[in-house]
Amino acid sequence: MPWPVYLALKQLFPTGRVSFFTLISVVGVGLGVALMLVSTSVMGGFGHQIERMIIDTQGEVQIRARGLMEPTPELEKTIAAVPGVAAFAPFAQGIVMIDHANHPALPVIQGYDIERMKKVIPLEKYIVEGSVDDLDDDSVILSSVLAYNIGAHVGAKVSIYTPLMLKRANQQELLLPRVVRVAGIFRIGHQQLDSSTVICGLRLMQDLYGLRHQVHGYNVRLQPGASPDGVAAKLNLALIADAEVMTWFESNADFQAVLSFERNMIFFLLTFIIIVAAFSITSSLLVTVVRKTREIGLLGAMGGRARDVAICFCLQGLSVGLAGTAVGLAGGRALLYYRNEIVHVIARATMGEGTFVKFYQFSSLPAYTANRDVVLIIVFSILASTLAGLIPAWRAARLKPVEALRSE
Amino acid sequence: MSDPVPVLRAAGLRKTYPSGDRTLGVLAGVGLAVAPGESVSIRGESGSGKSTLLNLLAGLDRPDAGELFWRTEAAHQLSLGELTRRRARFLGMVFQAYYLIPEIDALANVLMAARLAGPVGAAERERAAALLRRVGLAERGHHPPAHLSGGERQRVAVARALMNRPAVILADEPTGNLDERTGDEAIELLLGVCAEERTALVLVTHNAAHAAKTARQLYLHNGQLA
Repeated sequence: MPWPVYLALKQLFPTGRVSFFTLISVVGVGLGVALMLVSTSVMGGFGHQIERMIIDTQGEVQIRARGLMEPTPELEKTIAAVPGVAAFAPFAQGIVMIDHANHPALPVIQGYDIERMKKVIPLEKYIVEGSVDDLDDDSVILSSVLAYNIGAHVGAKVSIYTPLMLKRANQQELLLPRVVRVAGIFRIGHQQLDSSTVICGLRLMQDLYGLRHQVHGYNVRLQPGASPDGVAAKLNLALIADAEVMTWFESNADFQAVLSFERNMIFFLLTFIIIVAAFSITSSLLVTVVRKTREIGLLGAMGGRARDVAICFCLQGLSVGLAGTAVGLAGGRALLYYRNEIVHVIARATMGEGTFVKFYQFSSLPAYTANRDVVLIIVFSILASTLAGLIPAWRAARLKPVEALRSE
Repeated sequence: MSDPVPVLRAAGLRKTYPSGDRTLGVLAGVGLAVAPGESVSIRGESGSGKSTLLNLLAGLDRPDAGELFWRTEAAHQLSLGELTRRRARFLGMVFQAYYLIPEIDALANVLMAARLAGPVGAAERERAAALLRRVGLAERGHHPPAHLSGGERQRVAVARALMNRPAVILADEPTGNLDERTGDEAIELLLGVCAEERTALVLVTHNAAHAAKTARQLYLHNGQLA
């Protein structure tokens, strides 16, 4: 083993022990790495969960008509022929007024061809009461907060008022509100969707809006591994100019940008923890250089080159970085593994678990660790620790043996 | 028959240091030749330049003028980097304050000299152990310096200086931190092992009795050796 490596390891771990400097420095870097890993993973978890929710409620790709479109067999044949498309289902949507026991609300209503929708949108996994199978042309499924706000439950009758009624009233016609049964209640976990959404069959939606057979577009589910961007581009080429094809990411671009910004800001702010840890490494190593000035002089007197002395101190920074990163990754993984237990303990100790779940709308903390983030954290922490060793190394290398040996 | 080429030769070494707006002359043309295996002591008053001379002989510092030869090599013409590279094999040093590395045990301290000179293998480990045996520390090889007495530390330093079979050992007041009896033992040991290893010794000391034990005694006064 080259002597700079040997001596660096011996100074970090003298005679099998871990020196105090090593321990503090490794813990400092480890804490930074663990915090970065946990926070990026939790942010990634929220992002991933929201991504799954968006895809589960609209598919990876959405074809939107500029106005209305006829769901002709030719059109559907064209869509089906595009490579990467696994399934697709037409939809129509609008805004209605819904009323139950004099509790009105103005939700978004989405009508689907129920049988085809099941292949695109796994709504059944979000049903908390009732069943998708009970949905017919005289029933609707309500989002959980909407159902709570108007006091409706499964089996209740609700009245739906549509813009078509106003149109008919202008023509001196009276169109009565449509009374439908609540077939189910869903909760997705997305505040906007849960607070004000009604799902119904496509025929009911077409009746409510007077669309005849027309639809507003298609939700498209892709084959595993297919690129949403690639399929969207092919669909855009294949379809008529009156339709616009967007990926789930494009149709939620603003929301994604906010998420991405938040994630990057947290990552940026947490990098300062590692930078502070790196400064502590620099400070400790500088103290070591001063304390060991005569030893450094001795190494020079015994034939040790200045470059090797510098390498010795750089390696100490690198070793602390490696050990701290390993400790931080292990600690971060452990924190992520027990995250829900930790959150529940904090919730119980502060606001109470029930309030916590109600307020934050989640009972378990999501986590998703992207490989890219892990690589970024590892590279950053090791780089910062190694750079932290550079200043002490440079100072040690500049010491002249004869002056170092004379120092008091 | 001894080698006619001196292992260490200095001629006309001059060294001055700035002192305020004046220049302080420390060495004023020192000449010295040390034969292989020869022991030479240098005494002198405090501040007479003994340590400065030793640093120049070791190539740790540059003379203002003069020539220095390590065997036949003109050391004064080499860069400090070159001198550092050659120093590991050519000479060993013993200091008053021992300068052992505290994080490693006595055996590892001795082996450190070999590590600085190149790869360490079984032969080097065996030599380090043998040197520790020779200096009477066979049982103390795995003790850290903090667990050794001053005399024991200096014996480890002597073993370390001999590790690479240097041509010459430069010892700067090696008994300065030791009591009289331990100091006597350290000098006896140093002279003994240098003689066994056919290593020349340049001993800087204040102690006239220790100096008298070397083959040749010199005195540094007014920047000149006599």
